Amino acid sequence: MRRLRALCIRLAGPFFSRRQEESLNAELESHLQLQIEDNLRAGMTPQEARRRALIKSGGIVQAKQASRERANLPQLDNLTRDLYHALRQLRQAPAFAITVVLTLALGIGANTAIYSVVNAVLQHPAGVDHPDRVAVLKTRYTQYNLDIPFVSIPIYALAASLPQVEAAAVERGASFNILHDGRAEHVPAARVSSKWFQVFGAQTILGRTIEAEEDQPSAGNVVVLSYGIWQSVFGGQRDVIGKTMLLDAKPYHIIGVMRSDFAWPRGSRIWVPIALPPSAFAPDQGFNENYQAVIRLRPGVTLENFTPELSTRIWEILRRLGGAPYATKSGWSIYTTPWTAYAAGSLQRPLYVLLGVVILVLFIASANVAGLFLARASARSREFAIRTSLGASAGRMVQQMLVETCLLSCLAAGIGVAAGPALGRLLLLLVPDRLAEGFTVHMDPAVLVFTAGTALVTSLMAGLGPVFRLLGRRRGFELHDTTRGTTASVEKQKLRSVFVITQVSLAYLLLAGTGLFLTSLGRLQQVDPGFNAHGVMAARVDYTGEDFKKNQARQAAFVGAAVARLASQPGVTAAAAVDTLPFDPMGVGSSSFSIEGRAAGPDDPGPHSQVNFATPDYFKVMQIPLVRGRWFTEDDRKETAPVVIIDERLAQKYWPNQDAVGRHMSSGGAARWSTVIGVVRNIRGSSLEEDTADGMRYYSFAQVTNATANFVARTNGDPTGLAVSLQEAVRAADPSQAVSTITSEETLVADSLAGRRLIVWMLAAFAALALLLSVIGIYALISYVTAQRTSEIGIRMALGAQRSGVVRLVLGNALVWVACGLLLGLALAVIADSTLTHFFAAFGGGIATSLVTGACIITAAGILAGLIPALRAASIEPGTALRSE
Amino acid sequence: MGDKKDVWQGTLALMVLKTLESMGPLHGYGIARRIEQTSGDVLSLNYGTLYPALLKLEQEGAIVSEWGVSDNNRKAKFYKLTRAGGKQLRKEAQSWEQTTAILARFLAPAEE
Repeated sequence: MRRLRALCIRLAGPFFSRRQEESLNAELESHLQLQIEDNLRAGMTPQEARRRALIKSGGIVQAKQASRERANLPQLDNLTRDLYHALRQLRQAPAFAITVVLTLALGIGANTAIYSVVNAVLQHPAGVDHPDRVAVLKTRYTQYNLDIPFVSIPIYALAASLPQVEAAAVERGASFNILHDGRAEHVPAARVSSKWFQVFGAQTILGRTIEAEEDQPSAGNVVVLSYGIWQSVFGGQRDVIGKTMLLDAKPYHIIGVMRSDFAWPRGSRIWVPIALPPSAFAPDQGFNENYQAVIRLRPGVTLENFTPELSTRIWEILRRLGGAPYATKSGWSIYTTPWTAYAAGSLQRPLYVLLGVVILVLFIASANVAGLFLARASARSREFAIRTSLGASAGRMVQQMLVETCLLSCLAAGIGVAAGPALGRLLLLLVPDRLAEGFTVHMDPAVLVFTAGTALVTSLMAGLGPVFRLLGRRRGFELHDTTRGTTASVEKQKLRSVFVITQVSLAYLLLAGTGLFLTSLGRLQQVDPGFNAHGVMAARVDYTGEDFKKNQARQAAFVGAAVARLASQPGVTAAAAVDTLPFDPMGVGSSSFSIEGRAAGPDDPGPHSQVNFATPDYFKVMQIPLVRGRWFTEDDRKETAPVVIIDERLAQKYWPNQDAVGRHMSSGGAARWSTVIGVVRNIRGSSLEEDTADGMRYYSFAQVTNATANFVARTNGDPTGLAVSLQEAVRAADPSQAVSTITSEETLVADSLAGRRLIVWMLAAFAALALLLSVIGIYALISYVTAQRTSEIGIRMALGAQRSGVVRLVLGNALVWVACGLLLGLALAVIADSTLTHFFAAFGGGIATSLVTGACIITAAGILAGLIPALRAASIEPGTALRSE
Repeated sequence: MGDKKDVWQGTLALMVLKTLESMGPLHGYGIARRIEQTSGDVLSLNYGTLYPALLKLEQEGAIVSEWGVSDNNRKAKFYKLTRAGGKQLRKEAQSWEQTTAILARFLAPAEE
């Protein structure tokens, strides 16, 4: 307690030092006078009395210093003094200070920007409480090569019952049409079980979330609004709770409004209870994976511990209820994924790559600044020499250098903190909505800590160079070091050369990396998806109204009329409808089927493939070639014999070297056989990066009841220009139905490469930045060395050296660094290439082009950076140069 | 003066506190004189020893200082014991007595 009090007073010491100093002086003076008076009284002469008193009291200066050290903390005092000194130094060299701060701000700002996105997407998405405890249940069928982010209801119920799970919920996508401003508007929605919001720890701003009693088939309809729809439809009125809104023309009671930062499942604008009937929990539903299930683990439970436990419990039950043989045959299993990783999806890898890239940029910026500090230290070597000779310790000088770099990087960090999250927001804008919707970048403590960390590391890296040299050359500090008669050689600038070489190699790594990603992107864009997406408009209609959803005849009439009207538009060569578009982010459905007359082995899980439903002209619109048989026609209707078209993959798998046309197959064990009428080419269904398809069955759109129709039309012009015609066609065919999204098939395909494209663009930008920084680094060093060698060059020229020879001499220096940097960078690039091949499809191969192009760019930049100082050196007049000393 | 003993910092604080307790408020010179006299002029206190010790005690809250006028009409800074200082004095004096008593028993010649 006493110590603490003393420490506080000492900490505050510097603020009172002036008054204390005066008081101490007066006190010592009075002490001296009292002593003298005593001595006089003892009978000494005035002179003797004063002399004795001074001897007795001891050194005044020492006493003052001892008191001063006691009055405050000397270490702190030194630090403040260094800080003032640094500020003074920087005010004297504003150009230097600004260059350093800007360079560091670029590095730190880029890091803060990327990290703020990484934090917002992967570590702490807004609106979710403790996201690390939230996980998604997934199903895998290794025999079918299937990996789906859904589970069945019995599996979900089992997981929810485990003690490690704090809360669990399921969701199934839905959409409703609402009346807004007198028009039907399509609203993406989710049917969720009552604990959905509890799993995410999501908060309402008004009202409450769904209660368990409301999540029953017999309960009345309630709805929770998203912030967005509360604002747009209800104008943000606070009395909205308790009101009724019409969803698909049915009344729902509004019970709550969610906070603006929660919208999961992605894009969901309203939530209604899923109200599962008891039959959904029946054991026979065990392999019916149609629901997204999320769980919140209890504190302290990890996914690594939980997943095996879940698996064990599932298999116990499977064995008891008899599902085990099928599960074994099909390679069925349940696993878990952290929710953050699932939500980030294909954004995850690009973000990690970018984080690596900006760290490289930070290294380059630090190397640049370290070079600048070294140059400054050379210019200040006289100052250091004088201070050393006056007794300054190495430790004090190192501390002072570090204070200077810390000060500058603090300024840069300030800029980084101010600009970083804003840049991060811009970055998220570059990403297609379907990847990034729902993520918001905001300043939070994690970002601040990260920025402070990078600033500290940067200032240490940047300040360390000069410090090493200071320590290494301490004994060599001579006052005559910078005076006449010496010539600075590259040798003396060894440390700076190392920094320049590092910069060049890292810039080269980034350039080559850009080339590698660009090549891979180009290669992916060349992948033939099996259909022609160019010029195809794609529009989605989610059916509205319970009677319409169940009425096959009405649907067939609606689709037939809309397609016919669409096809008659000018510029449209063909129009069709399909259940699922290729490259639809939601993915295409799949199911098991059986083949007439096919004997299944004991370990055979039976045939399985993806399923789609199409109208006759679908293959014509998409230009999917027919290999055998015929297309669907208008005559393949509900009343006629069911037909199916399969792709070549299925045909070859089940009828190798035979004709598949005319065979019979049946979906999911139904008694009604469909006849194979045609075989078409394989297409890529969801990704250009990898072929995940396991075969496709197309059924006639008119022979089934659907929930959705995706209209496609091939045009000669801009496919999205058809939007108005399409809306008219839909309205004319059935006024109760509304179009929800209109896009082009080409956009859907291109969006599947959004992550890769993001890497390429950002990498290109950062590589350009790195190149610029290295050019500045080379230029600064060459200029400095050349300026130091002015007299040497003057002598050379006086002795008859040609100007071209001087240019070569100076430029040679620059090129040596570039060559060293290139060699180092080459090694790094090869390592990076072989590492990234494991993580990115279509990567590797064609590395030579990227390496050579990168090398050419770096060499050109190096020549450019060296040429100006070289020409300046060559224009030296020997006489002037020699006289200048 | 070569035979005069230097003062050990910890004990100096105790001596200062004891002096202030028995003498009441006193200036730095007075404290020094009193300690020297009490020691029978064995101890000698100079500025560099005394004033940092006074500053430390003041920072710890054991004493407070105030400018005043000395007996012979000279301006001087007077130090006064605080209640916390009195407590500290009693505690330290007690522990010091214990220590010396123990040491004395060790060093005393065996009486048998």
